[in-house]
Amino acid sequence: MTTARPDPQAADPPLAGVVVVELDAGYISYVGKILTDFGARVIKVEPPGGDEQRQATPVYRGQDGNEHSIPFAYYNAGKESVTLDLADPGQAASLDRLIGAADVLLDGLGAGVAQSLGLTRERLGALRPGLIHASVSPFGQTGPWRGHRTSDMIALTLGGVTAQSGYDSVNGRPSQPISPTGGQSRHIVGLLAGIAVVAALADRPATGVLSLDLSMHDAVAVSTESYVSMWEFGRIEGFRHTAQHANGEFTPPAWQFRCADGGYVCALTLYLTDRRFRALIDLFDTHGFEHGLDDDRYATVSQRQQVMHEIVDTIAAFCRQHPAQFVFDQAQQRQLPWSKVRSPDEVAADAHLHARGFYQPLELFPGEQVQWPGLPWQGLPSALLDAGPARRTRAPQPGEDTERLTGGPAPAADDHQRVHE
Amino acid sequence: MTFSPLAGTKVLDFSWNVAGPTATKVLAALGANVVKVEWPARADPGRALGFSPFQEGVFDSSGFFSSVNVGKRSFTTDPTTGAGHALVDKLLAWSDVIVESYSPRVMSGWGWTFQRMTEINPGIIYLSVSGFGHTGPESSFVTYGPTAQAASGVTAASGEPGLPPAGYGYSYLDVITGYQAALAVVAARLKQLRGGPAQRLDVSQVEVGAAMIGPVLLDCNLNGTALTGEQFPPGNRAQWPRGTVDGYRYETGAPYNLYPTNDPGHDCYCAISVMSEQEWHRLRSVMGDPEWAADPKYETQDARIRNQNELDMHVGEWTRRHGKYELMAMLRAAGVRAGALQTGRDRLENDEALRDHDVFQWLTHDLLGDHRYESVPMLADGEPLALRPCWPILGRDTETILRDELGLSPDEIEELHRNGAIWPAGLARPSYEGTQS
Repeated sequence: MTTARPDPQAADPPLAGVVVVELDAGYISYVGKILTDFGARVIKVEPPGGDEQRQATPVYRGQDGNEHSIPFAYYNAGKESVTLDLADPGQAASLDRLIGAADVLLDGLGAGVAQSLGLTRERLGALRPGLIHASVSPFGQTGPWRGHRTSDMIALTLGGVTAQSGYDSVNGRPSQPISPTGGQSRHIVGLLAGIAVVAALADRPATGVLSLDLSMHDAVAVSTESYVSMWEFGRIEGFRHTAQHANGEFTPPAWQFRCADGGYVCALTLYLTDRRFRALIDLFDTHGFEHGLDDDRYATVSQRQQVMHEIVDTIAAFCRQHPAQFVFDQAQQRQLPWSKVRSPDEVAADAHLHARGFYQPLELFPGEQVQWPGLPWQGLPSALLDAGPARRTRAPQPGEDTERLTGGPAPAADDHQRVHE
Repeated sequence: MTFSPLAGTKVLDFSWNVAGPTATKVLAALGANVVKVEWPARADPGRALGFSPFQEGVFDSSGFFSSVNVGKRSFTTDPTTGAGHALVDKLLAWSDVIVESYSPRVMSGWGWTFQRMTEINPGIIYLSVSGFGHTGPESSFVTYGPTAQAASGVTAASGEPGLPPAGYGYSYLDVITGYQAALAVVAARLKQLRGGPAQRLDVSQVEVGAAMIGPVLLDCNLNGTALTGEQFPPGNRAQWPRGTVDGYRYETGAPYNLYPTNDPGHDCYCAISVMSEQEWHRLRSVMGDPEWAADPKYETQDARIRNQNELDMHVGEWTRRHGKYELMAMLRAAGVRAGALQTGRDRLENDEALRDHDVFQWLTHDLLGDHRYESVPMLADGEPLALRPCWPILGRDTETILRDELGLSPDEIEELHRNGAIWPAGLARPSYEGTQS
């Protein structure tokens, strides 16, 4: 299923034929990526000089000698680019024509900005009846925090992710909160926006505009698993723990252990059933590790709960004697839900992910094939991977498509045609 | 008009714990008709996850379970028996989408391979959610959220340089995999509505995690970056000095960190991000133009990034004299990006923006009373998406679904009762009196 290409009748990507215009000030390009991956045509409208995200680091020095932003390439692969100065009425008219031929307008300009450019609800509905106008902004288009700016770390911190992530309090050192990396605030809101837009395409309005208004803050605030329930139902304010769930205990048994080679394993003891406990003892016995866990005090789940610190200390001692990969392999052979804490470079080289076809060769920079960290689902045709050689898979140069898509004044119907070609 | 684009979409939900049920919660919030299928002897372990006093043998007392499963109905049958198997066949024929999150061999072991599903329902969408996916050398590996996080690189990518990985203080990949799975389903639904053939979607939590750090993996691949150095993981900062490891937030600026405040407790921090010269000048004036800030070593953004250790120390000395909400208000008023470190309690009790958008919605649960539930937050034409006050109280909706969705007669339903096909013979059935589906 994974590496075989689907049969030709099924080969149409889900959003084949859908045209999207993306206006972004740094919040919505991940939604454009989702729609591109699903086969939509995404036209990114950038200010003269290009989107600021083109400066985002880290960079890659390509064979063409230019520095390319890696995140910009990742989030904008396969899109088209038109540069327009929206303060110039002639160029703003080009945007109108692009919107007039689009199904979706992605608006990541920030609260109220599209409106101030004249893109009001009424105007959009006149330009393109049935348009889906999806906006992603830090705090939404309405509400008391509307218009405030944010950053990735601020969004994760206000939304609750940071308070529950970080380090245990060790040796009197205060428990330090850590805001996780990778630009997750944009992913969280982008996923909810993507779901809303794609679902809306299944039941789109015939007239007027469907406006979808997503706030990064709201999205992050509902995406913290049990942390809200913990207060709502239990009146518990959690403590942070290293690489482990925040909870009401100050020093719960740990899950993450340092191994002989300096690597770490996540040795989850959270669901230590009788079967898993026997597997654990087998792991220790097989490798001649003295453990004392066959004592009656460890006989049942509830007894083990009482002495979990002892069990965990034993696991930690075993880990200190063996490399992390060895512990991972041996544990999984016995169906223990453990893993090595892999560094990103190990994940980039991982054999299982390669065998599943997660990484695919893609021209992500001009003339250069790279191992592209692919799609988080398998089984849907992908516009980028299944496209013919003519399909652009890299991110566009600023304004690369301006002339083709807006060149010269033309009747609206004609432009509609051109955009849909 | 209510935004309910999945109204009429029928979802058969065999998923467990958090990741799969998060996907079907989102689908339900968008209008899908979600039927959660369980057998009481092997009910969703999520029913025992906590925060309201959980009682052994009581299936519907968990607050967290009720928050992940709001908007769904419950159907009980045992797929391992002949009668139960036949009922699931009927449900498969009825449904548009089937979602499951078992280990890879469970559904096929019960006889429902994808091939078999397509024989019953030629247009079906079959989505599986698992740790490592249903193919590949590690597909049999056992995982929970924290395991998948460790295996995917997201744990290692978060923490302070020189300290152990800090990862996430929750199963981030359960939540995000739920969203990715919901996204795959709505996309597949578009093809289904066009009359497309059956679709098999295989979502792996490890791949979801890897995709969520895509640019980090590309940096490793393209630049040969080995992410084990003294500046990785990159802490709370946006940037480290150029030429060293990046902060992987795809933002630039300094000061950019969490700073201590004078609030009590261990959540006494305020996040500040200065991402332009203008913002730096604004911060200086909010701080009262201290002498240290005029030092040329803080004059440009590059210089501030180079001298972040000292810079953070100075800013921290100032923030320590204020509360986290006080700092946020002062800084925002001056046009500096800032945010208080908010806990679950803070978000529920202190956050006027979340309240204004009705993000945590008050609903009355028949057994748990009035509580606030996390919505799927968006405004559609200005209106928040309202959660349906409906929960999969174990077994409560079985007869209704047999009658209304599958068209069984009262006699047929009575016979299923007698045969123990829809509730275990020896187990007392809860009274649903006074509860409504």
